[in-house]
Amino acid sequence: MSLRLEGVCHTYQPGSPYEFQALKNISLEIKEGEFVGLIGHTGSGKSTLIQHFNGLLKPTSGKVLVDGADIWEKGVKLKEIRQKVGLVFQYPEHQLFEETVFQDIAFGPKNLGLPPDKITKRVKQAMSMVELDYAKYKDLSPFSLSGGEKRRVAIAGVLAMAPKYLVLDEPTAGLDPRGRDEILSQIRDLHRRQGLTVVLVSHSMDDVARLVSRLIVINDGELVYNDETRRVFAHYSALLEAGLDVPTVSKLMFKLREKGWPVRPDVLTIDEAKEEILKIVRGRKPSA
Amino acid sequence: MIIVKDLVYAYDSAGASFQALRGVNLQIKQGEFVAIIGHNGSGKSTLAKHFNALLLPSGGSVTVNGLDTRDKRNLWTIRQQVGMVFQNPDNQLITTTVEEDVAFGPENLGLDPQVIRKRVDEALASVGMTAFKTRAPHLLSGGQKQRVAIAGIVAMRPKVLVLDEPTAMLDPAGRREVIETVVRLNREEGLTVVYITHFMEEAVLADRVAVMEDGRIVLEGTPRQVFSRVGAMKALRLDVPAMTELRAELVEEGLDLPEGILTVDEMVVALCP
Repeated sequence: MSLRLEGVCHTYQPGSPYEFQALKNISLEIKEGEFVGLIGHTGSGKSTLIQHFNGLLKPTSGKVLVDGADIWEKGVKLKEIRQKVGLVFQYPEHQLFEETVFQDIAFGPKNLGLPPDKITKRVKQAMSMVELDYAKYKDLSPFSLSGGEKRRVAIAGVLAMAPKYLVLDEPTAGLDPRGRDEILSQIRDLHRRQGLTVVLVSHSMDDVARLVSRLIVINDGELVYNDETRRVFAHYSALLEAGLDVPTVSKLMFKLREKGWPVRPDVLTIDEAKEEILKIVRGRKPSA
Repeated sequence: MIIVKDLVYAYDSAGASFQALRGVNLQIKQGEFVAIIGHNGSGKSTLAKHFNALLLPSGGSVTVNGLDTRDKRNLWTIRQQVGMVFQNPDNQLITTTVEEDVAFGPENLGLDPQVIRKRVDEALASVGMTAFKTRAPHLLSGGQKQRVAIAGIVAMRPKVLVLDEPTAMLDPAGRREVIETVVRLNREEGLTVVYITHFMEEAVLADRVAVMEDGRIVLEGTPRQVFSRVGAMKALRLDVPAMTELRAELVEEGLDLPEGILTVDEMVVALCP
């Protein structure tokens, strides 16, 4: 079971003077249960790519397979694909529209034609996943909430569809550090506890370094890396050349190596960096 | 330049009153670069809006260059001296070309066309956007849009530039463009800067950092002083620069490292003297 792209190309406005090839021959697979990061600078093709995952965009050539089924083949219901692959856009709170939090989250399940008791159950579950107290929030207007709360309501709206795959486009953009940490820890729980397959699009290298096991890097519509997170960030210079950042600790390791310290280049967290530095400093002073 | 004294501000809505500022004291000197950090709802933006009299104190006072913001006669002088840039670049650009947008402010000042021309050219040069002057603003990148918004303020020849999370909606490249522009305007053109941000790597570039929580300033000092209080910052659930955190952990393990390490380069120097 997986999300799979095979040789996907996407060209906007083909045949016109504005023709633009946004994706060039992308092949990749997201397996069930994975937590994958997707990075690339603005205009690299990230958003175009994720809109292929649930059939919002159709590849100009190539195939998109969800759980083995080619979603553009006759007989495949895109509605079902979109239920299976939930997409949370950037600033999803801009899409809130209902009068109450309950109604907003219930919108998707209602459209699935579920009976009222099932809908309520779905809404409750989705709200608990993003840690919004059902009794406290259900009757509030979504517009009276703080930015971080609004965003959680919007994410709950997607979760209420009970997707198997969850794709989030920069879910922490514009939030303060507290709001960011809350959303990220909830996403991590969705992966760990609920077993959701998660694709996280992010600009924050420090965040992806902490969270995801595999990282996909795209630049200029091409797949540049698709590997274990720590192996990707070891490509320090190439990433910087592509206009991307690396986690702060990766930078430190790179600069220490330049100074001749034999530290590992593939360190991802502050704790790992600490261990590497201590190993060397303590190794130097046999008396200590 | 700006003196905030015992500032209290209460928002009134639907009969209920909410105190967003609860006694803020702050002085911003001419030529200084002050960063204000803190969570959403801590009062940062409410405070910023007092600097150019968009909001008026419920209690206490704000004076700009000696002018009290509560005195209506001072309003236009203050607004001309203190320019604001907001978070969303798309809400601030209004015309069809970049240079017209930058000219909007000076035109409203009723200046001579030649003077306007000169100011627009200088302002665009100061943010590095001269090459884009005939372009349509909506086709620019986020970072470029914010630089145009800043140029629009610079063309008004203010003394103080107040930026309220100008990089919150930008990608890393756009963020770099904007912060570099702001630093340059401060260091080379002597513009006083008040910079509200959630990004600690931007706040470390300021001369001084003020941390807000619950309508008050709870920590204040140079970035080194503020960020080396790793425990206090974490208790507020704010970020500290990764290198400051690493330094604290290494010191706990018995390493002897100087206080106030903020950047990777400083850490490298400390480790490899």
